[in-house]
Amino acid sequence: MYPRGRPVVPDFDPTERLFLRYQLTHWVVGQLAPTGIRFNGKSGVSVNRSQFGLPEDTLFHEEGRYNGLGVVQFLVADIPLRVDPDSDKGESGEPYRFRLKHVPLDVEADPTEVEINYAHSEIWSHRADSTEVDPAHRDPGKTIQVSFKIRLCQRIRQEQICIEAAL
Amino acid sequence: MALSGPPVDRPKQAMYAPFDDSTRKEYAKFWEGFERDARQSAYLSNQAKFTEARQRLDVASLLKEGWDTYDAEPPNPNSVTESGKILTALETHNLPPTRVMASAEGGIGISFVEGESRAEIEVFNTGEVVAATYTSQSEPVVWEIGQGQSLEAAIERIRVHLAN
Repeated sequence: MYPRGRPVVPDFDPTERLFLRYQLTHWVVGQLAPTGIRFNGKSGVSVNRSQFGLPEDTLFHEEGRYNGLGVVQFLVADIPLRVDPDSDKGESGEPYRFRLKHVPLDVEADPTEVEINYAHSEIWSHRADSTEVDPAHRDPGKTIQVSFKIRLCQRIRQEQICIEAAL
Repeated sequence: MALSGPPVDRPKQAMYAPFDDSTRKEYAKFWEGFERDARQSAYLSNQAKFTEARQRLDVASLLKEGWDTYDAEPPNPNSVTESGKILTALETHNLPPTRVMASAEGGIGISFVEGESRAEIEVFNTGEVVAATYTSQSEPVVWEIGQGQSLEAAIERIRVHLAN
């Protein structure tokens, strides 16, 4: 959990597991509902990587803020790399690409940060036609967001529950 | 309830025989009653599902900032009102949702599940309304309601998808 001066590890193995907190209300008939996943405006979807933590670490908070929530896991390879709208099916929006970014949370390095979490990572997105080498995260349009979340949720079923939610 | 079976001394003899008129009338009366009860039961069951959906919408409307622990916005009055209208339209079309919940994205989510078929309507705080249909295996089809697609058309599309 604690960074202790460890560096950012930018590479993710496709078989590495990622942990995501969920609420009971977002578990719908054996699968996570897409409305349980959030694009964060500035920083994409938050997850914890298994290389640096356990599922229960995802629920760690000094004031017990996450007590009663559950944790699901999925593989790095489960993240869709790109979502394109299919105009033949009446879909619209700009195509987007998705990638993982290791973003440790460290109150010592960033005084504005309120949490300590070395395993913290984010799913970043950017327009598929971007030519930048390391483009900043930018939320996709709503239809692409929903399409991405559904594709990810199709991989998050009963077997992917690490800790069952009680709340 | 009276039970019947083959005669004990002829256990392998078929017990079926053509009904006479009075037996046929009794059966017809029984099936009429059965069908009426089943229709009434489906109606009551759907009513109960809509009552639960509206209760969940009420609960979601009371959430505070950061309710999902990832700093999510609570549903705003616009998304709650719009979701209420969608529930009314769904009730008119007799298509109860499986779950109504706050969306971590800020807004309200309405989920439908029928076997392997699923559908979503997400009402965002920003005013956008997005619908989607998918199964556990197929790629989702996602479209924005109000962008050339009416709510009525979306409900029909979802109904057809769930029935397949």
